Amino acid sequence: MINWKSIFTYVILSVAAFVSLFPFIWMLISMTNKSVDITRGSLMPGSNLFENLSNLFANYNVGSALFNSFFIAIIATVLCLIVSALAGYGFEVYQSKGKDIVFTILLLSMMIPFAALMIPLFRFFGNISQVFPAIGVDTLYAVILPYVTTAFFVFFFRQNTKMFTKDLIEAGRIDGLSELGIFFRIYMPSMKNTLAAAGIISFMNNWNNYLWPLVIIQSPENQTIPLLISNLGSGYTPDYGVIYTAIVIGTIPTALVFFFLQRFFVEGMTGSVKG
Amino acid sequence: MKLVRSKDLLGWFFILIAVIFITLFYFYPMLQALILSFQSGMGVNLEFAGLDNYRRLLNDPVALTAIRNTFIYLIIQVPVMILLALFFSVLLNNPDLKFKGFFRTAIFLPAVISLVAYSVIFKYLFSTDGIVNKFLLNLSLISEPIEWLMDPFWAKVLIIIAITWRWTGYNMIFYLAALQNVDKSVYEAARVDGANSFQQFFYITIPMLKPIILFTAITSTIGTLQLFDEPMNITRGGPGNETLTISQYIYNLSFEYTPDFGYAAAVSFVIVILTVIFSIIQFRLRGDKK
Amino acid sequence: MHGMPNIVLIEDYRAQSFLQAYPDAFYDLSDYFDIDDFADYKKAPTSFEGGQYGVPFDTGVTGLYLRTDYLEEAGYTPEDLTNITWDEFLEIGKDIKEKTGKYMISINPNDPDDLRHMIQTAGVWFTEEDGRTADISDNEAVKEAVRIYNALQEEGIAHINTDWSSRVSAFNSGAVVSVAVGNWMTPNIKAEESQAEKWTVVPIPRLPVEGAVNASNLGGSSFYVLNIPGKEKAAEFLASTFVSNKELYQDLVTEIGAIGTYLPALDGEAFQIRDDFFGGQKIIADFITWMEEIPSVNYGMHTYAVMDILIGEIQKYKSGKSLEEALEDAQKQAEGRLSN
Repeated sequence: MINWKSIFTYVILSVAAFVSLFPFIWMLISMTNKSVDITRGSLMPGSNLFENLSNLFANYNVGSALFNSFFIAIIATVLCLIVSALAGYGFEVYQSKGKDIVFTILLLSMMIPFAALMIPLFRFFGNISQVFPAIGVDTLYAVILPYVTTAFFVFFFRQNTKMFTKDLIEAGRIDGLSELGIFFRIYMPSMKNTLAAAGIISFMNNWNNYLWPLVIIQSPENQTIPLLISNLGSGYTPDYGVIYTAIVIGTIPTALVFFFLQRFFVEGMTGSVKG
Repeated sequence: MKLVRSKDLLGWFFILIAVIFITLFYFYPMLQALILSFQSGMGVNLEFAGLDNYRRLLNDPVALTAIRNTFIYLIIQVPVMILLALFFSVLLNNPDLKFKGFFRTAIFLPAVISLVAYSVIFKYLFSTDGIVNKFLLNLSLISEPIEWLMDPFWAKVLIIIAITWRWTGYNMIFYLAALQNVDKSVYEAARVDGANSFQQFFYITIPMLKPIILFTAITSTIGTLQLFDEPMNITRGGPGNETLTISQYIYNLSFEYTPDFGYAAAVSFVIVILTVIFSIIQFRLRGDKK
Repeated sequence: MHGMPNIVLIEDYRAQSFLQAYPDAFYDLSDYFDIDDFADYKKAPTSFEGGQYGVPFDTGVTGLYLRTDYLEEAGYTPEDLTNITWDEFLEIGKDIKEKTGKYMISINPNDPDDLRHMIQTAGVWFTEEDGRTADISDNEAVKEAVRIYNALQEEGIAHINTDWSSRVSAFNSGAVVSVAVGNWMTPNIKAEESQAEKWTVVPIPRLPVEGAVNASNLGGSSFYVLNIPGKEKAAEFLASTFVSNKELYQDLVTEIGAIGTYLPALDGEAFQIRDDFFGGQKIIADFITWMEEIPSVNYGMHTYAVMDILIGEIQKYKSGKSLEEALEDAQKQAEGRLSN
């Protein structure tokens, strides 16, 4: 018997995968081509890969940009997961009127476009520089600090905590665990899928962040990958071969992070203890 | 009683760090922006102007066009994307599905694309003699090429297609993560009772995922109200101002034109007000009842 | 400049708005060099209220790049397109399109930078000489430029590009007969080696208005010193390089194809080179000749704001609004925007 339902599933997913991946295939092809072939829209792989790579690495400090981007994305992601999970858990498990009001106010912070915050935030870091230059303007920490936690992640963890089986907390209390112990030893391990989803998003946001580093970073040695790519594209004669090579290099880390963390979405049994 | 109070205090400790960080890095600059919105002048030469900026906004045809465009994106794009993301996540949650990792990664990847590649590729695919038009012409769905980038209607459609392409996979992963928390035995029971896939989707999946659907609806609404990357990189707000969004206008006022931070801040608070209204509506509609 | 965070390069169109918006942020360089050593048209954008803040860098002197093979096919010579008006350009373009099927030019209606070099041939700008009073609806040059710009599309002789890469690809792929643009486009034109010896450059067409010349500018930028510690050192660095070092200008034009605006340096050998790609034409020397004829205008503080208003109104003009009405509405919007 032909299983129409599963054929339908595969067809739909294959089409969606193709549409999603097409630009990435194009990027991979483009990194092997000369600039002039890329602007012409060539879909055939070329033989310029080695030259693009050597032009990129010889003329730009890709190594330091990669290091900076990894440094920022990893530290910001780890801090974000801990701080946001704590808060999401706190708001949901120890719900009170006062906390609900605070929560609603926190949500307000998501509602203003970042473009409007940039100037005041830059001035704020200018003031920080006077006292603590190590975390002030033109440091990697200044890139990280505003992303240590955002209302978005607090909201995300709170909503997921709503689906967390609260009986487990009582069980932990009966077993004599401290409240913090329950959070770290029961809640966190059982939220692996939520942590994976938040981790992917946080890593991706921090890795790709452009506007804020553009404003706060000044020295070339503190440049991140998106800043490097945008520098490649400025000027009167951008070399698209080199640009696409840099883009592919800049995309691989997030793709890998996703690929390795997404397995947590399958192992659903860690998500909740059933029955 | 004492126990309850100490638990309550402990709860404050859990949220403390987040509250401090968000206050410092969001509310403090937000307050500064609010003050700025009552000032007027070029760059750093600012003086107090009362409500002038807000008054000016009401008579600024570009700002009103940007607000209208943003609304159009919001009303059409957010529901389409959320349904699509839910649909994909349910398909991908099928335990018997093969190549799951591949499909999931493929559909998520558009969210990580570099903006440079994104804009170049979309303009290339949707140019008048581009692949999309060739495809539609070959299927005889259209008789002459669509001016995706030059026609006011189709340019908006293009922006909606582009946002949907980029963000569906992103929203999908919130659902995928949440679906793991749904008790599988509920589905078994439903199947025993003779519920088909559609009924399971509407009567089990959607109600179970309510907190997360609410989360994605609100964050997508916020994202769309602050939409910037797509019009900036694909259409540059054109043709004319037909795809311009509020956020892009704020950017133009601050960085593209002679900087007018006061007015830009006033326009930003329009987004804040709109977002607050929409969020309240969504909380009410979808019922976040305890 | 590497390791010199106090020096910034600013596009000439934006310079006045920065100087006005951040008056204390830039260091006055009047004592370090003489602006009269530079091309005349560079003075207005780089000075402000009696101070000289910018050291002019590259020129955006424009030219009309032509495909000689396509012209020949249609029975024209480059001379036929030398020192013409934009109306003549339009007529020739229609004829060539008919005979060869090739587009005459490629434009991007969402970024109509052609309007800028068109009106500068008439020695005017979108704002009056004060740089802040909108001058659109009563400005003959703007009116003619918008009319011609729209006609290029209406007559079907303009290929439409949507961004830098499709703009470059329009000529690299051989889709267009001409490119009307600043000299900085040269390296991109030469990138398509198979088109060697098929190109030549003639003076940019002028607007059909009184006093217009066949010389204009598009883009170009200048160096500024930020008013922060180390400014004297940065200023001396600029004085010892971009304001005296003739060798440097030879290297710049040879290595990256950037033509400077420092007049004493522009007679070196590197500027007299015959370029085989352009059939042996001394294209750099030609560009320098045209550069000296560029009408000087004050770009003022609102170039991009006015451009965006115009883009919106041109769109409406295209869909049926009268030219007068569209420009009057643009004028009104600009007045509203600029008064604040």
